[in-house]
Amino acid sequence: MKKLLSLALCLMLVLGCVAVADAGIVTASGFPVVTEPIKLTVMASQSAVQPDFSEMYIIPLYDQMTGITVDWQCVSSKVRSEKVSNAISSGDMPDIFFKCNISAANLQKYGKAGSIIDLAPYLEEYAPNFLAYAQENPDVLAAITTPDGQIYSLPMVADAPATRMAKKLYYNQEWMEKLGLSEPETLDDLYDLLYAMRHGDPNGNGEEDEVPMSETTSTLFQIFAGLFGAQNRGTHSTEYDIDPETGAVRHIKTSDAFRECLEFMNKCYADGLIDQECITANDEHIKGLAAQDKLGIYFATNLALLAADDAARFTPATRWVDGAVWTVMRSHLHSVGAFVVTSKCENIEAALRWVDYFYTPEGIIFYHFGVKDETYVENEDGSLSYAPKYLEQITGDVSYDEVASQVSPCMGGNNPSMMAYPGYSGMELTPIPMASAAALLPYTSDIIWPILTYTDEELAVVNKEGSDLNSYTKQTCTEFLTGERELTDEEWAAYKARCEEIGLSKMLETMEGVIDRVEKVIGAR
Amino acid sequence: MKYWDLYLILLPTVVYFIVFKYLPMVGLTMAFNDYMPNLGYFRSPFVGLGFFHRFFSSYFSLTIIFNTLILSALNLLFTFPLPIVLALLLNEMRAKGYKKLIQTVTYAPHFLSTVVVVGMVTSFCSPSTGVVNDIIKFFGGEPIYFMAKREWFRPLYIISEVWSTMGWNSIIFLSALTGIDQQMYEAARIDGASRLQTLNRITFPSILPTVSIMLIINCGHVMSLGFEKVYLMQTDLNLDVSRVISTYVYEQGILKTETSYSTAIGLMNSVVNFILVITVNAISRKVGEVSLW
Repeated sequence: MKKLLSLALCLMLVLGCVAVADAGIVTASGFPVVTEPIKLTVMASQSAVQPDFSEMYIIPLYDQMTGITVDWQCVSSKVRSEKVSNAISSGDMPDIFFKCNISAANLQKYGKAGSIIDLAPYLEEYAPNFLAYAQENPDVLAAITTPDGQIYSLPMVADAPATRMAKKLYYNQEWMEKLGLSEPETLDDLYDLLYAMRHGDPNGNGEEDEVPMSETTSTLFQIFAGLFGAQNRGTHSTEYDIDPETGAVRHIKTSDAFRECLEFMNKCYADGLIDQECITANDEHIKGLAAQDKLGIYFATNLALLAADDAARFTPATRWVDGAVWTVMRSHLHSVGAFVVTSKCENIEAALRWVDYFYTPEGIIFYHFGVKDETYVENEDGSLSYAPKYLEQITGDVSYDEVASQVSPCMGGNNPSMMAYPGYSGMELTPIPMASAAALLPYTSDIIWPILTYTDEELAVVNKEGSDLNSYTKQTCTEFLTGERELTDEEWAAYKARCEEIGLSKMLETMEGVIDRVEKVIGAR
Repeated sequence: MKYWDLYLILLPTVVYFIVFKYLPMVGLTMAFNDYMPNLGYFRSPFVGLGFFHRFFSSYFSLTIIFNTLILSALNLLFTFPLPIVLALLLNEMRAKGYKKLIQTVTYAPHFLSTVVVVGMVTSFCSPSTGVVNDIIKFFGGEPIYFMAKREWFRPLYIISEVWSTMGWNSIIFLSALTGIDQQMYEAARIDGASRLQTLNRITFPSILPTVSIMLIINCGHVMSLGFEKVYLMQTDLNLDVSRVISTYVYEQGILKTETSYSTAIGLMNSVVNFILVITVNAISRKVGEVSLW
């Protein structure tokens, strides 16, 4: 009996292999994806709160819908990059890497070695939904396509402006009312507001302990640069943008616009309008300021970090300063490397059809929320939330993420899907951050560069000259900001000369090529 | 094979060193080729000394080598002798209970992780809320933003390092002190030696071999300065002094997954450390007739 059973199993295995080898079993559209059942092994990154993926509500259901049985190999998100690189180097690879957040540089490396598959030739036929979106939003296409034209991964896409905006703007309404000031419309207004916040004792404790704004220096540089028209290509490109006058690639940190910006920032810093501890500022520090009612302007993706009482003091901005750029805007691409097919996979077509559904409006809802009235309910305002039977499990010990993970694998990010309303519901898609994002959207640039991809030669320059340059400019600009180094003509010239010495011209020349290629893909040239 | 049983006992250690310390050295070939995971150690394209050339032609290479050496040397200068002093002081102490208390208190910081220690340093030194600045303000001084001042980076690093390692590192010297034959002290006392004289003539010479060995071993770490702490204490304004080899390797090699490049720098560090150990060992053998081998 046992022998018979094992023989039967062997036969099934052999037949299974034969079936897998045959690409003709993939259906043209809809479900099921394959005419005969097949199996895929998938290595997935699993966060601490997630159970094994096969225990999630949508997974067995999706197996049934597609006819593809997925064998999940869950690896802890903390060691996923090691696990991926081990699998690649040992050759003992799964068919698919899922949510493993493989970096663009590694994708190119693995792709060149032949370990992972170039998906570009398959997309039109087997991932039409994703491709349609990517062609409509070519910044996505630009970021996933290597300079040689291969596409090694499907990414996580951020569609709503509120998810694309890395930081939104919130004002301390109580303070503004007390000071009798309204939102700034010009640069001078902004300065006046900050000055009044610092010196007008709006928190009413009789001490001059107010901090009008606090952020890390790198974020402050981004936001202030926009006030002077610098960094006009979005938040992925903090070092290079386009000179509006000449149309050439410009190094932001040595531009005249940025010098003006540094002068203004230095003035603000010297007057105490920027947190004097911004050099070591982090989320905890800023949260502490807000908790003590010492914070005037809050830059954040949403208000979730603050306690409810503190968050209540802040209202979303309704505008930004005239003529300024709101720089902290991402491209439509959130992260690459969410879905990668290896050379072990014998049915690339089926794998792509399997994932493509997650890029359709219904698929986004299914991927994040599951099935209507079963695992989620539709609210009156059109937003979705998990069914009460899940939400009521949330207690002090059981978090929202943990409960959501009973339904879907979406927690922990890097999903091969879209962050699009209403299928995706992060904290940034709640009314207050959305209001701020909508108000700031007109101030963002029309052209946002995606995360850039480089050829080997370009990468060598970017990693050497580029990173030395970034390291030096970061340090020196911070010195100019705090006044440690005085921003005189001589010092500025010396700083620029030093940048030149490190390799600025070589870097600019390289970037000129990179940007030319990318802007052509996104249709800006 | 008269002592086969002893060799048998030794065997696991030998196997351990071969498997975990010598075999991984095969990976050092990565420093000389552009490592591709699927091609393995030997078939990846050979680049020779390319990565070393890249390191030394980097704009900041001299600065980071200099910073590493200075910080390491200062660190050795302070964290090496102080545990010896502590051990000697503890050894002279007669109140047993008090001695135990001091030992426990000085050991405790060893068990705090670097992240916690740096977190403490950062918050203690905060200009607005830090206790250190509260004291400065109490005496009428101006608060100092320690973490943003490059001249304070090295002192802060070393003070916190001394605080967290002094007690633990004194253990080995304490154990050397307990090994001293008590009869010598008795004889010295009978001969009328003062406390300072016994310390100078008996205690110190007796632990000198241990001190020398520890010094030689410590010299083997000069180039491989702990990465975590420097990285955590790094701010934009102290980069001038806080850029060290290990943070550079982290930024260039680990974050950008350039395994070969970081292996090359790591190999260079190890070679320098190795040369230092051999040199110090030779000097010590000549001068003090104590050596590792």
